Amino acid sequence: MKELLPSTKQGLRILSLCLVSTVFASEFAFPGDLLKIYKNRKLDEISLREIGVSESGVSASLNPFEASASWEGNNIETPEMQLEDAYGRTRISRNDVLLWYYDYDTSSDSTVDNVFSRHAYDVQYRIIGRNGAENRLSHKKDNNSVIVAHITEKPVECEKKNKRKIRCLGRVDLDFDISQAKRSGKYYGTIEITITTF
Amino acid sequence: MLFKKCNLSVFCCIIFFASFSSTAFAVVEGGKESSSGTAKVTANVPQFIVLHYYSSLTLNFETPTSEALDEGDNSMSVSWEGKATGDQLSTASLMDAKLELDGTKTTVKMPNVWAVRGFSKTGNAEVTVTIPSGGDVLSNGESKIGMSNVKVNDGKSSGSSIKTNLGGIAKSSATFGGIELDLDFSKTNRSGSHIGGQYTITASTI
Repeated sequence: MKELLPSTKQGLRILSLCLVSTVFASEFAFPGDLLKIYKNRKLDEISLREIGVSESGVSASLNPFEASASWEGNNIETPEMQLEDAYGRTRISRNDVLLWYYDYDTSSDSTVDNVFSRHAYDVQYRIIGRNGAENRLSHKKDNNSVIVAHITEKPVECEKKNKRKIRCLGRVDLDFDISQAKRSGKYYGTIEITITTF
Repeated sequence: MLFKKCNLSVFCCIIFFASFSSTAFAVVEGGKESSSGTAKVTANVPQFIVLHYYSSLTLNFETPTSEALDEGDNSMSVSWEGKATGDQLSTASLMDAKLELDGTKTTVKMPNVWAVRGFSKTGNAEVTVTIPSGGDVLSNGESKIGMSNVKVNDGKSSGSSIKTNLGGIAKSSATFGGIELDLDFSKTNRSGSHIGGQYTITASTI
């Protein structure tokens, strides 16, 4: 028993350290089980309306023209086509895209303001296409068909989930330029996220 | 006792493992805590095609040079009753003028009279041209110009139907193409405007 008691104490001390570490981590570090970064974010499909049309097929009539023709059948000199009346927008946005959240286990009397006062966030985002190019999403079958993408960080917002949990949300606005896209279908990229708290 | 200590150690490891398993990287330094991870993002672009075309075009054929062709000397026998016999002008004997259209059709080539842009699964589009019923004749009263053999081309290929590049939605990425067709003037006897010719261009995503 003499040997058993000190060993038991030692074991309890180890357990205590573990628990303290866990509590400490939940408040001031980034324990992984509390920080959730979404692995996949499938954005809503770009609609035809967003492009500026109501149908998938559009014909745009140009002004009539007259041209001189030769009896020998040479090329006719046609006017330069002016596509000014054509349809199509190339700027598409997806706003308030939730990429990550951080859950704080707090005492029941903690408020969102308490959490804000203790934690300041600095979040860096970077979008990389499948072809390795920055600020690009690339088509699944054609790396030359790309969407130019820009990310804008939104202020971190926190909300009380329940008595002991406050959740802080990492949202962004995504702006896409589809003028360099050549194909329909899915475009992929990866957003690298680095979160620093003070 | 050794067994119990072991249990405690395992329990601690589980706690630490659970704490650091779901993010890619975490650093604590000088009061700052940093963590990083990645999120895969997917955007979906719909199929869409725009065809630009001229709804009407007018071809003004140049005025042929007026010519007086001397068919040479001829002698004819004339009876006292006024009947003349001997060599007369005929199709076979007429001299060639500067413009001759016998047995030929005039192939008219009109570059850059349509354009396509948009998105498709393959990045390509199919463009076809047809003459609708009744669209193969241009008329001015009884005077007719026949229209046939209509083709589309994009500088690389030509035919009644071609596969062409669909370079995206931007105007600067549009693919431009031309039309060529044969005109038959063998039943044309009037000057002036002949109307009624028609072709239809269809562009589809493929």
